[in-house]
Amino acid sequence: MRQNAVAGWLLLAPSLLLLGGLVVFPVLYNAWISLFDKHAFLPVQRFVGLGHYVYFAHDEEFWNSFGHGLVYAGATLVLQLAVGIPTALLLNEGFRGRTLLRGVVLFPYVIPTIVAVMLWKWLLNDSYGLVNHLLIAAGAVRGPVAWLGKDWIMTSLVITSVWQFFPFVVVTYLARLQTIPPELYEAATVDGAGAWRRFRHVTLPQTRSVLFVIVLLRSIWMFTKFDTVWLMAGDGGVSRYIRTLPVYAYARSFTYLQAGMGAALAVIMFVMLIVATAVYFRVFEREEAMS
Amino acid sequence: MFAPVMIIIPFYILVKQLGIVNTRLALVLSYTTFCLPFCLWLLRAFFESIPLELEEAAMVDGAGRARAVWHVVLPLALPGLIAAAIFTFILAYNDFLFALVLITSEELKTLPVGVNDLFNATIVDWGMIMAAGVMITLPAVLFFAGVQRYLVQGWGAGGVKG
Repeated sequence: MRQNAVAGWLLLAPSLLLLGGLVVFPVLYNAWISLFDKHAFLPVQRFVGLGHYVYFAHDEEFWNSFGHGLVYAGATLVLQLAVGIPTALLLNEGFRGRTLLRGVVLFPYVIPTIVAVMLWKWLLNDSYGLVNHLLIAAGAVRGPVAWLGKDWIMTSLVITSVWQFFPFVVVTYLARLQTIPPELYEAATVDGAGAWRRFRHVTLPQTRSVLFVIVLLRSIWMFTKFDTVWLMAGDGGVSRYIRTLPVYAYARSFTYLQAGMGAALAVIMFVMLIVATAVYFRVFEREEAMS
Repeated sequence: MFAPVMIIIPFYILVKQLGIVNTRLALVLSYTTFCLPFCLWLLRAFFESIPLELEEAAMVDGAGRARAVWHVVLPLALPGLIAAAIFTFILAYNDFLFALVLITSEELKTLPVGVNDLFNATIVDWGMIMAAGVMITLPAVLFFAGVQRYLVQGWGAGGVKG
């Protein structure tokens, strides 16, 4: 037994070392940096205590970014669920070509973010884009819509992100759907339940816990998404209409070279996520207890 | 699991102090950091689902611990290993932030960053950008298609990339 424990620790050692050195230490170090006015490249730093945090409390840009993040995460989460769950239900039915369709649905999730973004930028291009062409041909709009201009850039970002990430919802939900015993549906059908009531009273209760995980992970991931948002905005002037906290943190650190400020933003996001997750767990537990 | 952007600043400073900015090693370390927690979690679930009796039976038949693991446990955990591999591959292949911050030279740039540079060129050549897009999507799709059947199982055991 003793020998087993030693072997166990030895096997765990490389992972623990890596996690300690590359995850735990940087997170703590990040909190430490956030207390300094630190240049990103030069070895210049000055202790400012909680100064950065006080600054952000009054910083308009911070609150704008926070607002954009909430809108972005909220809208993409709702739409991913609205598109993803029906797709998963559909793919769970038996029909010809199901395997092929499953592969196709996964496609957006597999292609690199940069490709997804450039694809949508081309589709939404105001002069040559397919979207404007179809809208005009259908008579839905009179002139081309500036999808990448300041009024529509957030909508375009949300569309791109939903397209890119809804397959995650499909796959995760589908995996759980497949483990629901068919007898439950048979029993419900015998009892005269239609498709909607079967969904409401069999599928939903069975998939509650996976929905819980999907909502949690997707909202965290969308709120902290960097690449899609940053690539969508490019360097243009519209970037400030979709700037979220991760992009703001990046700009502070690597554009304005204020590493200390960037670190403080990372800490703020970290705390926000922990608090939101804790509240989410509390609410869900209470609901569990009631049902 | 947290996002790259929350760790990139201390990571960048550490990498700089270690003198490995603009090296492949820096990227390897970054992606390892990012995938390790998830892979540990995923693989643990797979290993746990393999009955201990199988391993014991192999050892009763005279196999040492190492052989029991190699010939009995690993083959059974293969779907999990593949799922972890796909996850890590896609995350590292797609990553933008680490490659953007940690790599400065043209020669070491990864594909996503390189393609993005085409956007920032004076004249945006859409034909060339699209061709680059197809080229960098192909390896990911081929890799994915090859191992797709293991996937639903792997993903069912937990979440996957952000």
